[in-house]
Amino acid sequence: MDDLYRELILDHYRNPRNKGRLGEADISHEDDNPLCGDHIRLDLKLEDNRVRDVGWEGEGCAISMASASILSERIKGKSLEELGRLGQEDILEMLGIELGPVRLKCALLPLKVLQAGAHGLAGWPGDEGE
Amino acid sequence: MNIGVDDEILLTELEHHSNLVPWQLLAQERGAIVRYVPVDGDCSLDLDAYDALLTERTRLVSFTGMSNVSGGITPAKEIIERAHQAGAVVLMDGAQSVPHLPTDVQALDVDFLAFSGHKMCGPTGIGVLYGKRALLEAMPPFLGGGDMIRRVTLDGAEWNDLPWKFEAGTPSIAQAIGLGAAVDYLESVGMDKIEAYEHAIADYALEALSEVKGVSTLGPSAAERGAVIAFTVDGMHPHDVAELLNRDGVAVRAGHHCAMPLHQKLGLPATSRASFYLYNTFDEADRLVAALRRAQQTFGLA
Repeated sequence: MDDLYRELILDHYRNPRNKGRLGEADISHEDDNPLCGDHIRLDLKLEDNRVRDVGWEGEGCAISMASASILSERIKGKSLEELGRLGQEDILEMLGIELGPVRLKCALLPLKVLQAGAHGLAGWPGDEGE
Repeated sequence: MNIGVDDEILLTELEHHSNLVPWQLLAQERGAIVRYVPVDGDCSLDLDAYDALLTERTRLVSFTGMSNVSGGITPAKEIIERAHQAGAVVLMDGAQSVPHLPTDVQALDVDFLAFSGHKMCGPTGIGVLYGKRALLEAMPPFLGGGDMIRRVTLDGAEWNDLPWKFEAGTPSIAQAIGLGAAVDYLESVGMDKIEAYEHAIADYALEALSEVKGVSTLGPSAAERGAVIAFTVDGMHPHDVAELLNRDGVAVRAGHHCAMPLHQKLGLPATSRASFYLYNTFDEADRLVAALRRAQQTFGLA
């Protein structure tokens, strides 16, 4: 009935990919969205500066969980430099939906955690110009 | 208020942040201590614990007349009576209860009562603080400016009578007229009637929601509550529930409803919440239920 909850999102929500902690991760980071209590922790294993394996854990709405699941699939094999170039548009393209400002934060939380863990960035993706 | 070092301010776990944070700030400023009356599983206040928490150090008791999450109506008269026996001053947060129930400050014997315009068909930016005359007369003004003085010289000023002593500067004229109209309107409908209607619609909606598998509602039975109904849906995050209902034409809110401590106590990050008032219909309760079933279908849960 609704584009926001298209099959891709619901599929990843119900059957999250790469969910679970990684033992001995090279990079591990977690964060919350204080607005709604969503929580994401992301573990990365690296090899030659590339993502060899990824695991994540989290609690939250379908948008944030699906975003984490889809992102975890897309970043395998990518270099840290490539991860650093991922932005808001890439997430929206992966999810294939348009979001208002509140739900946008749900979608961006996994990327925020990734950028904070991989590159020490503190802000929300997309806020750089503000 | 005469609150000093190690004095105690007694609140409850039910409170909206607006009846928590100002007291926490005051306690920080004065070195006072804030304590909380706990709630049980259906969000009712534990009155035995209340008795134990009331001590000779308790200077102020402040509590909500109705929870904005569970809808539960608190036993105001009893809370006030016991606070007075312990020698404490009592402030009742009526932001939720005043719009929905008849309120008689003299029968309650409450020292202070606060409520907001925008929760009762009135404008934003205005509220009411009632206080007993003797207490208000003993209090200094908190804002200086026009209207709150009787006479000003270069050496000082004399305060105006109540209520002007507390109304410095140009008043919120438009808001006051708007709130007055809202009060007249609610009085013309009848607060008794509004209360009875809300009990009836809460009873109907709670019953209808109880038939939806996976839906749990918070709070006490319809007779002991107003018609605000917070609920959870198994397998769905409250924000997803609200998003789907809103897109289906049913306006509900999701989040902690400015009552994070209560949600923490209940072990819930958030809830979805439907609020019924005098303008809502029984048919709308049915539409809420139908939209919930459709939302569950979208998530493959029904």
